[in-house]
Amino acid sequence: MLIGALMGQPAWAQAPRLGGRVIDSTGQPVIGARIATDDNVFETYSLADGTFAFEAIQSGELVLMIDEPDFEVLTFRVTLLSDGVLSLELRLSPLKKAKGGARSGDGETLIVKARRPAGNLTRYTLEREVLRSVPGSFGDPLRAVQNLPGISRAPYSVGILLVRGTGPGDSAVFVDGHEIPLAYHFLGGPSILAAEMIHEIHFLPGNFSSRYGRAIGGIIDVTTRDGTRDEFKGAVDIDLFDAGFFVEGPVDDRTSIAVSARRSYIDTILRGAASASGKPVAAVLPVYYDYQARIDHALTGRQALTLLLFGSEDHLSVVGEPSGSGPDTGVDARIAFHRAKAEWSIDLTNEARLEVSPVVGIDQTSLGAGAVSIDATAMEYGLRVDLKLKPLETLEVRTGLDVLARDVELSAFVPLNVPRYRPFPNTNAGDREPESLKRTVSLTTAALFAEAEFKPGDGPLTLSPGARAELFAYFDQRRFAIDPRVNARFALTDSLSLKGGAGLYSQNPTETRLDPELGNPLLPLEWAEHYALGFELKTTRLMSVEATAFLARRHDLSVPSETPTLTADGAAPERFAATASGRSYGLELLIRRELGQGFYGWIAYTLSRAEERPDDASEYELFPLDQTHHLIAVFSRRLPSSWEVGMRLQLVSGNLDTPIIGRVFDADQSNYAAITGAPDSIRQSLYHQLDLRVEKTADYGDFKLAYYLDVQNVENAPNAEFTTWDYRFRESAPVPGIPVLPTLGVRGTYL
Amino acid sequence: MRRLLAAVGVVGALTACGSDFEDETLVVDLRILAAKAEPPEVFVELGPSRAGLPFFTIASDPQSVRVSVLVVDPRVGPLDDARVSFEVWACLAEGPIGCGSGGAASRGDDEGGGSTRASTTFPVAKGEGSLESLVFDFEPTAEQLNVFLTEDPYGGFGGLYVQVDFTLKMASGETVRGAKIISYQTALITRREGEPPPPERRTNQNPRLSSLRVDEAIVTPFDPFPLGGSTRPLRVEPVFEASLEVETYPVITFPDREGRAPGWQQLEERLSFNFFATAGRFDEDDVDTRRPTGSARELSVNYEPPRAPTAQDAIWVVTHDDRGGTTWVKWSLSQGAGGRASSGQ
Repeated sequence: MLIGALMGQPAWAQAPRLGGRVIDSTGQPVIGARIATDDNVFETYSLADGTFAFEAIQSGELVLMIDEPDFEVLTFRVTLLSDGVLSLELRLSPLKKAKGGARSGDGETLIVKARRPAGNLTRYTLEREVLRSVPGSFGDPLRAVQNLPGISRAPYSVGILLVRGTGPGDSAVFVDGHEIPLAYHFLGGPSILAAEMIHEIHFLPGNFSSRYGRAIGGIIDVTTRDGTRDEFKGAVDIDLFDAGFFVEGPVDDRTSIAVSARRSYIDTILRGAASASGKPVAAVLPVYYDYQARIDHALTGRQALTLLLFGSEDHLSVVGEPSGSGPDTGVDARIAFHRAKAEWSIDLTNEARLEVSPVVGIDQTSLGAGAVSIDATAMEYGLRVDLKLKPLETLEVRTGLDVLARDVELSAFVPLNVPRYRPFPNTNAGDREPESLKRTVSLTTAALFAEAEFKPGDGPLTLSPGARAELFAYFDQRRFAIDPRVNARFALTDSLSLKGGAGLYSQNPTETRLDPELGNPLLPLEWAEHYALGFELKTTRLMSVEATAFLARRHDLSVPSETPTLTADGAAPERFAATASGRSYGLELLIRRELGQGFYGWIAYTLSRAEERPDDASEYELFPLDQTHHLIAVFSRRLPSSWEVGMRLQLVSGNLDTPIIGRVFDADQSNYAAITGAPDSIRQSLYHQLDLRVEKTADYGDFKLAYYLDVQNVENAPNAEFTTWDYRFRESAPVPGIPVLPTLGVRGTYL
Repeated sequence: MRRLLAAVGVVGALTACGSDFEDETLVVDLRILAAKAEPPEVFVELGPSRAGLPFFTIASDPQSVRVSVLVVDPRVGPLDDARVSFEVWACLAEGPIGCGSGGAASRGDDEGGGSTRASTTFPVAKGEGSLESLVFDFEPTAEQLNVFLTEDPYGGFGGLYVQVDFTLKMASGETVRGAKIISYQTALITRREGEPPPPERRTNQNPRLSSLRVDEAIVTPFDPFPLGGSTRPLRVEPVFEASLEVETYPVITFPDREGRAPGWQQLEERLSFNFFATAGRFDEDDVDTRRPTGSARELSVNYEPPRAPTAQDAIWVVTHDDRGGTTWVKWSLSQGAGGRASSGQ
């Protein structure tokens, strides 16, 4: 084996002070190699290009080792100065008796890890190379996240986050520390970030760090990656739905650039098919594009600068025409967002690092249906300041500032949901004439957060206390929240750790609900308590088991209210009231097998119950999206001749439904109203979906072509999502979910 | 959350295959097509004012209201037993449809309501009638209405709405159930300082369907329905005579958030139409049961008459206003000479 070392000049711009690259005897990168000190205090893993970096490591004389299947164990000693920066090239020799297939260096390897958390109790981490090959995800990284415990299945795979029994508005998605309005394109489309731009995705189902706020459910934190400085590389991906490209490379020896873009065209294909068939077809399809561009520059004095531009647009297109001239089914919906983010970082000392990250963005939403239209434009300005300190060997501290200001201009032509007078009972809002509405809503939040990771006596216990103090300002209202949080981990043995945590989390109601005319600006903050207890067990080198029992309770949730506010002069509708509460509890289990001998897999199972009630006087009822059982099994294997096959099985409790036991004819509205049984007391049949993926890679030296077939719902299982009824609730029929959905694609990669 | 689910469901339904449910405009069995209250709105005599809620009390028993129910069953022939027994209850008309007995029905969007309601229910009537001519009288006492006022979440602000919930049972044992709202109002309308005085308030009247235009022929409620001896589609359009039918009325407005006292607002009544037939076919895509008066949209539907109508075949056109007013006109169909008409207005 050969080891090369460079002193002084860092080969990368980000934090680690000890890093390098792991390659095999042919010079190809070794992916997922664990590099650790011999006492296992410090560890890290190599990435798709073989590079690795320790986030924090002590100075002095260190013994490091790499013990990977198919390779000889590598042990070596280094001396790291207190202000030193060390880059290593580690070459591994193959085992004399090879056991499995050759390890490929094409960057398509799945690794699912739960690293030692920093402030987060449960964190599932997926590296970029993971996510390509998960069947049923169409190579989309953020889709692969939905195969982890704690995320409920969304109907029709629409891109909403349902975490531990909370609603879609309760969780948040961050990109490089800043929240984005949506993570997925419309109607089950891919995520808004290209796979090649993603370095890691952290999924935090609860008990998350005080760095994150304005959410009471879960967090998905995506970190993007910088471009390579070695040489230009690129990739092109074309499938049935969209096409995209990615290119990265050096601008100079201190600057790199990475650019990616994608555009859909499925609407064009199906529009042509509908026209050719001659049959009237009414289908709603998304049209989307997204782009990302990142520039990284290494400044002098251990400083670095990053500029990230990214954005996405979705537009709903109606394909075909409904028959006749009946009800207008015209739909025009568009949502777009753009962000420009900068980050300046500096290693003040070996134990202190400062990051300052401003962001500016614009969100545009428009919806038109018949005579009704809604347009909203939001300008967003944010600033994050993160200071990381390590004053002691056993103590890490992180503190910072998180500010976000949003100005939303709303222009609508809608029938106001609540008229200015008492309407005839049961009159539909749609009967009212549309009215013009213009509104400007400003919402500003500013938070200070602090957290620590402390190992008393350098023993097996790790404590992570933290707190977040946040001010919310909207209209003439001010709300203040102090959210203490604490997580703890106890290493019983080298392979078994216990973990537990508790904390408070706050968020403001949506802007619409705070509007003085459409909502209720007096609404308080919505808040939640999170509790969790569990363990992490590494049974073998590649096998691990992680289990977490959780309880979350949510308070002051705002719900529509028809309760009139009575005054001496009359009555006015309240519109929204903060009387609802919710709770969810359950068990999450993840059994995973990391990549080795050419295959990987995991089983994720969640057993849970989610409930809600409109007020304290009412009994808890099941949350409409409650899913008692949710099982996902993922498996992928490399075969000879560069073939890869994978499968994904999903079994989920059927959607809740309310039985209809009678009907009453409303003579004034000339329609029927259903008499229902106990709400959400029955379920659709068990949801089951089997996805398969086959990929073949052809190697042409610096250029590779990968052909793949990814089929979702291979069995074409009907999987009823809802029940539809006739006009007088006597006959019903199930509304099926997404049918078999194949996609054929090709991905070309240069270098 | 439920609105989100409904939106997802709409998307799913749009992309899903259609279901073969029965045509709503085709009458094939026992159905309630309409119910009319005469009058649909009653002025009440105000009692002495008092501190607190409700905002008014009723001093004396109000005018009686006659309720007519259009219940039909094309399976019942002239020699069959067409008797219908009925039982009627009354309760407050805020929230679910129907009174407590037999269960109350929630509206489609149950985010704002709820399927349960604790409201006092009074028996109204029991009796017997027959298909297409079932009537009963609703004669609440002031005491009963004052009970409803205390239960009204608005305290009577904007009026008191009472619903009569009727269950109809055929000799065969088959039952149907319906509900109709009757409005109790005061003649007084307040106004804010500086506002002009509101116009005199009159009680709502049931609308009148002036006529139909069938292809180019004007057909009054007393004319035969012009089948023309063929089965080609007919263009059917309600003819609305603005000078006779349009009502405008003032309503009291809520106090606003700046603390200004209630005022008033003038509204124009909106009419809508429903079409039913025992034979033939109305084009479903044309039938939009809620069309505001004065809308620029063409108020017409295509009707494909049956090849061989029988003496029992008929079409009905039901007219609603947006304050509980209702009426209907029936045209019987027969081959050759055209149909006969009868009116429910």
